[in-house]
Amino acid sequence: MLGSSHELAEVLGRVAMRDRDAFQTLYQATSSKLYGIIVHILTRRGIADEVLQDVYVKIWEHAGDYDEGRASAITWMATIARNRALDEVRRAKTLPVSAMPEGFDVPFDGEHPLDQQERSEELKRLLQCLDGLDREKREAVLLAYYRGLSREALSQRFGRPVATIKTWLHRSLSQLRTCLTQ
Amino acid sequence: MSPPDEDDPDAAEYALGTLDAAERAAADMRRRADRGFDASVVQWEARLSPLNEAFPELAPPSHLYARLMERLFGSGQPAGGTDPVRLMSLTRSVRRWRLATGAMTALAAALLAFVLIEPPPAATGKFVAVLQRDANSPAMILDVDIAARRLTIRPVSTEEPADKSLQLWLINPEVGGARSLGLLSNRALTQASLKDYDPAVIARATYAVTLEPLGGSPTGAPSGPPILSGKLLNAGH
Repeated sequence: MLGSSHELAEVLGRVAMRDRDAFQTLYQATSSKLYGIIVHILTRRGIADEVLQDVYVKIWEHAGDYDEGRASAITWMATIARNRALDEVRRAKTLPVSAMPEGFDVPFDGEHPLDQQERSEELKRLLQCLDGLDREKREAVLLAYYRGLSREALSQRFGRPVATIKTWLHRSLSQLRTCLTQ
Repeated sequence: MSPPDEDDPDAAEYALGTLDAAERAAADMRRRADRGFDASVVQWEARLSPLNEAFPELAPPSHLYARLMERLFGSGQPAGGTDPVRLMSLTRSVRRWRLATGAMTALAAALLAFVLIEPPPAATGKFVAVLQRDANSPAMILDVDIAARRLTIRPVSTEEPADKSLQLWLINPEVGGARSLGLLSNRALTQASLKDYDPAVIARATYAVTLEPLGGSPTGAPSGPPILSGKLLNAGH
């Protein structure tokens, strides 16, 4: 796993050297992952297409800033994608959930692909820590992370004042941090 | 590098994504000026990044790559070459990073409800519920399309005892308590019609699964213990 993660970092290194073939390889290996992230947060396909392009422009321009000591290559790219999508959704002032269109085309054939694979130790650990949160707070954290819900959107969703949501989030995140460092 | 400021909630909320546009812009500026804050954001991004594994992949439209090339390098760019063996290996590494579970915990199931299923937009009348007894129990995921008055329930990790049946109930005082929606299979999707019920009843009901004698409750009301229950998310709207 370390080897393959390093392999992606190495391709990113060649992208930093302006290697266009490496950039194409990087795009082919990662664009489905990044597009999945963007579409989940934005929900609007038309904008998602533009955002995906912006993200790869940023990756092309900033590949030289990538520091393997700080994050894995895919985490670095996923963070760029998520942040770009969040900026877009905040700027558009859309409430993602209420603006949700018909579908995501996320295929589901009754047997999802998760069963055959191994979840990373890091995800297991994080899930255990999320398990320690109250159900509503856990939902709030997951909706924020996966669907880009703002405090206002969470406030509407849970029928609580924004100030309460803010307190929930701060306490939940602090509890997660404590749990993860144990 | 300055040590990260661990107690800064803005760094944590920036990584979670809950800041509004002005706060995000302010945080972006602060990241450039304050290394401790920037390091704290990066740490929070790293802490939460395992969640990225659960985002399902979705192939972008194929024309996007050509448009990206044109945007970066101008028109008339020849297609580059990619070593297919290399690409397969890389794609596998992203996939492996992507996800998944052997034995699904209930929490992982709940998480899937956020990433694999349409969340419940009130506008289109689609709702979802995660049925579980507590955070550590098995779970089922229930989708309700109110406009079509149709319910789909998807088993995730529930064991079905050989000599019992799992029965699904809609519980709402407005319809006099518990009404059977039929028997469930723990292996396949089960669909049920909700044509007998008002949208308001459907939206506000509790959904429960009980363990019943083979073939279902003989009395027409739940006779066994509820093993799972839940309410529709967003049902308050």
